[in-house]
Amino acid sequence: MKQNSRLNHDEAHLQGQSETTAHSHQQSSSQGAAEFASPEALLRHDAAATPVPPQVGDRLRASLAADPVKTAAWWRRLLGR
Amino acid sequence: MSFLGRNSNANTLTPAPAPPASGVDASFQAIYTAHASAIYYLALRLLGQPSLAEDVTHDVFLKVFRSLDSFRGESAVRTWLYQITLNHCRNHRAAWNQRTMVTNADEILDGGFSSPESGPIRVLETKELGERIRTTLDQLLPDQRLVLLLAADEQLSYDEIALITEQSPDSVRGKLHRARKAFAQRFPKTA
Repeated sequence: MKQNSRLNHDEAHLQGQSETTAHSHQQSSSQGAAEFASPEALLRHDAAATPVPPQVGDRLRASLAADPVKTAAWWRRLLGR
Repeated sequence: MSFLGRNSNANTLTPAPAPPASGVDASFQAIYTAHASAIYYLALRLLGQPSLAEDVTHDVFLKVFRSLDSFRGESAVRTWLYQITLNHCRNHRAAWNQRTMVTNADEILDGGFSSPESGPIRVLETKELGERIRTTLDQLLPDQRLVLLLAADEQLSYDEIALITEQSPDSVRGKLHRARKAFAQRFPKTA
């Protein structure tokens, strides 16, 4: 699989740690404290805690409804062209 | 496996983004649901401003909506989306250039650290973690910051990161190695 090289590299980076540990996001030792196996694990934790603001979906919904390209594509499909 | 949509606890799911519209092509909705979080996060950490990240995320998916028919599947969807995202981020010239100027200054300092290769990162205080991460990423070289952010996405192989960043896989590995070290050296463990 394409991720094999990534895993091997991570293993080399994290000497002595298992694959599972390498991809675990954090290990909490006490409330408010955490340990991350790598900067990537820290970033994964940060990403998971960073949702897309709902206004992005709202704006996109409005843009798609008014998008002329969408309308044109709809007519092309309708007309079979 | 995506790193987004799942937090560190692995038992608590981050809600998936709301589908953009009813009546929109199902494949587009699926793409938005699967990838919007990753696109927003990359834009947020590259540009540093939530409003800019929102603009980029909106623009990226509008472009995807318009060009989905032309996507030939020569790369993974996530790779394609990241390429579009980087182009849009670069188009936000003011913020991009400002941050590049800041990080270029850091280039002078890059060789000045002599601490060993990074080990586990212990975070003593998780409050305002995002802000500390942003501050740390700002201190990395632009290439290092980008490679590290992409490497954090477990969906991407080194070859795909190389494709997105237009460099060789070996170069990606080298920059990632230095980025890990630089990040660990600069990351403040406490607030």
